[in-house]
Amino acid sequence: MQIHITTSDGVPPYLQIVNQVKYLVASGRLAAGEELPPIRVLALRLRVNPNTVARAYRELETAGVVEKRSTTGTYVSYAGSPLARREKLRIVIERIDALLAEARQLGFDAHEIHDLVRQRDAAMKPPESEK
Amino acid sequence: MSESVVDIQGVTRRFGPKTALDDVSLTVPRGVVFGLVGANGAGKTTLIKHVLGLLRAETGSVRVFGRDPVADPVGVLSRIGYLSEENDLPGWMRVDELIRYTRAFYPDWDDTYAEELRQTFALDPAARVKNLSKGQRARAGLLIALAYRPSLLLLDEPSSGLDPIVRRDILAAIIRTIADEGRTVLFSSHLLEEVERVADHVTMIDQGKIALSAPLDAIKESHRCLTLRFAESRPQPPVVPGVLVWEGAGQEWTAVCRDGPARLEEAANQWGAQIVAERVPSLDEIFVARVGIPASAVAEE
Amino acid sequence: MRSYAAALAWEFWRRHRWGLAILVIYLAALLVFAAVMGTTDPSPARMALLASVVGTAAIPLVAAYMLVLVVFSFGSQADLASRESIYPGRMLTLPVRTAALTFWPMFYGTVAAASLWLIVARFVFWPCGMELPLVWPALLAASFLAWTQVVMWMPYPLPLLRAFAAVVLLGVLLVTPQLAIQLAVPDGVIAAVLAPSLPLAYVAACVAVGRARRGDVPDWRWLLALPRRIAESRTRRKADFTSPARAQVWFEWRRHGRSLPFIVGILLPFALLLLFIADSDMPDVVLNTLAGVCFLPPFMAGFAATTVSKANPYVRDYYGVPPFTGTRPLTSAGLVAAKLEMAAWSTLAAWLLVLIATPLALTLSGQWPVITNAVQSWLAVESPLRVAVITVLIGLGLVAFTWKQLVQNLYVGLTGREWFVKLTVFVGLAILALVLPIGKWVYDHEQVRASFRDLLPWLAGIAVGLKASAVVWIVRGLRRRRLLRDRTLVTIGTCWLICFVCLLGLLLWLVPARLAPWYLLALGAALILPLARPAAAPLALAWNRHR
Repeated sequence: MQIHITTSDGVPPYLQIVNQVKYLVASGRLAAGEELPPIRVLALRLRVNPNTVARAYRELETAGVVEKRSTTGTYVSYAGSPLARREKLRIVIERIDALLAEARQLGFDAHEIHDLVRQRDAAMKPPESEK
Repeated sequence: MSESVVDIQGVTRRFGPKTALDDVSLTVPRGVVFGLVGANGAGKTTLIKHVLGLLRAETGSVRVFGRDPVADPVGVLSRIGYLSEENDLPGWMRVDELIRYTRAFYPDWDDTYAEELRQTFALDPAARVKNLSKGQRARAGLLIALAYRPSLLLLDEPSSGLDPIVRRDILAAIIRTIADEGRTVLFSSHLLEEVERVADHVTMIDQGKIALSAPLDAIKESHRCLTLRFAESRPQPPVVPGVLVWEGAGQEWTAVCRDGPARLEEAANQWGAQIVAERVPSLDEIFVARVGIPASAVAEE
Repeated sequence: MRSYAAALAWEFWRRHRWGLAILVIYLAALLVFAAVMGTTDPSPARMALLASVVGTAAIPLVAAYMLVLVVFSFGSQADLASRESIYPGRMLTLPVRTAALTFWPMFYGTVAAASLWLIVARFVFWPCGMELPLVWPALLAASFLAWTQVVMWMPYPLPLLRAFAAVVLLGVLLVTPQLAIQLAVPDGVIAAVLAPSLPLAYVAACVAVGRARRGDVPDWRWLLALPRRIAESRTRRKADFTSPARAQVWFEWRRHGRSLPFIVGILLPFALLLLFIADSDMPDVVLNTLAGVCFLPPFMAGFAATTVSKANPYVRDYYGVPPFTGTRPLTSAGLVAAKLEMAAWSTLAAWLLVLIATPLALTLSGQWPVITNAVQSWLAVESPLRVAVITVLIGLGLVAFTWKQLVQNLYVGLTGREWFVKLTVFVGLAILALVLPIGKWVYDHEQVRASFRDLLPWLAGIAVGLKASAVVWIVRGLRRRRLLRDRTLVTIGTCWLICFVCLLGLLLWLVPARLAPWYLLALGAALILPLARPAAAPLALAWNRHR
């Protein structure tokens, strides 16, 4: 699981972990049912406070991305999370609004954004040929 | 009920005419990584020496684990692991002699853990301390500070002058310590990047006084770095309460402010300026803003 | 400052200004004293008296000469055992030629040493009637300083070679004047022999500093590698320490414990040498040599004591307690107890050396008959019991005295305050400079000696009173800082009283009543047994450790 923490861009480390894990799950690099490293091990690897990792795991659990199984560890949850669709929609809409605002400022219109979204989606899919 | 590991109240310390600590009060709760940050000569080492009992509190009180380190050195020091920035391990000792000597003082010494650390740090048991490199000496000091799993790990600028590999070892040691229940870490550093990564709580000391003491999250949330673009070029930025430092020239000025961006947004509206960028400053920038130059304009030439 | 010479002179002055100022004041006092006393009433008897008084007043001059030696060879924080040159590294990188770097310190040093003697001899000794030669002792002083500089500034291929060279040099210095006086060599010849040694020393020093500058020193440490590897392979698995106190005693032993046995071991062969040179019809020489050997450990202990309380030279604050020792979870009293125990082991080791070497030397040189004769003549006078007891007592007394020398002045170094250490040294020397002449004067005058003997009990009583009040003050300090438990204090006090009673009993039995009344013996015993100063050591250490 490849995660990289920087302290320079102002995003809190726990949020960086949350976002990157979500990205890895979405892009398929973390399969459903796969185990996430224990808190202590990840903290040592990333060289951050274990409390930070614990907080990230809690957020991910609340968001339904992972689930904690009593003492055995933390696992990526299967699709169909208990989180309401409404909540998921809210998160995605927030991202889209931010994207549109930035794009407008930089001079892109909605059509160009649409095309770009399609392109990036195709690039993110796991390659079929490797099966 | 002493949940706090270190409790310093109203300590003032003078060395001749110079005031090293001025009415400093600090409480370190259990189970946190406590970062002490300050310029050279600000008083960090003096504070740490008070915790160890190497300096007697002239005014106020110092309590570590509820005891006075000067009156009860054995009770306090047997639960503290200390790594100093100075090179004070006896040069004539060999590594295995150093381990054998140190373990006699601590009943909680863990032999297997010490051996594991020795192998991880690649320390040759027959090597004499004076023949070790600076990084190896730091590792040896770290080994004898960690092997008995102290309740309080006290590090005084542990990374100064060390290569990145040793610095990683030190950070890993901090993280391993804090991952265990009930153990606390207090360390002073100028490498603010590292402090930002691992600290739960940060205290900034400036010329013997505490400039800021808060959890790291709170510090990051309350400080903002905003860039304002004014309608016309200004020789001096406006005076706004809450702004620590201004930087810039002409029409664009960047401010680091505390207590949230609200006041600055109001001021921007007042002066007809536009906020073009907003971000969270790094701890480094907050530190320089707080402690470096007094809150006045810094014009770029 | 335009030239290197001026800069160097300024540095010498600035660094040691207090020592040099005190030296100047002392010299001035001597000069004034000699000038005033020498010109009034030049009768021969009075002159003889004056000569002896001034002679003893000048003993601190030896200390002054040592100060000059140390200052001008840059030895004030030198490590005698190291391989590298003592010449300060930062000066070696100056844009100054090696010849100049060597010349100026040597010039200042030799001028200072020679002028010290010349001034004292001409203006203090001569007016008081002691017509000592001027030229050759000045040359000897200058030459010794120059060669000391060579020994100090030379880098060596092996550690400790410098100490060895220094001892040899010291031997030469001590032997030369004695030989010259014995063989009645004329002054001019001695001067002529000594004079070329100065340029020779300069050349040698240039070579030494040159080598130090270029760093080309052969490294012979591989010679020591094999014995060291053998020693290390033998001590493969050491048992663990049973308690913190044991560990601390081991620490102190490794750091300081071997200095006294080492010094005694080096000097013992030289001292025992006389046994081999003496003929069989010179029993006095043999007995004097043995007495000298017996007093060697206590005498050397006085020197070794200065190292027992010194701190780690690697740490910034040279005199303070280094954090490594200060953060040991051990009480200050525990740290001091470890030092006291280490001193005991050190003493035993040194005496073991003496006890092994002396009979060996006696056997090898065939001087046993002298000893047996002396013992038999003594047995003829005294009962065997008393002889045996006195011998054992003297033996134990010497061992105890050696230990006392080692630990007595612990408290000075342990305070960690440089000003305190230097003040103590200064007070000691000042007392020496005053007491010795006065003592000599008292000794020479009959009536004064008699009245002094009457006054002695009172003086001893005052001294005991001072000691008692010091002990009270120290005990109060110890209790207030809670450095020692009350039970420990009571135990120490009881032990001291037991020792006192035993010592007093022995003295009463052995010393005839006409020599000294019982109260004088009691006061003497109270003064001899150490109490105040060792007890002050934990207080001093705590003052140092918790600043």
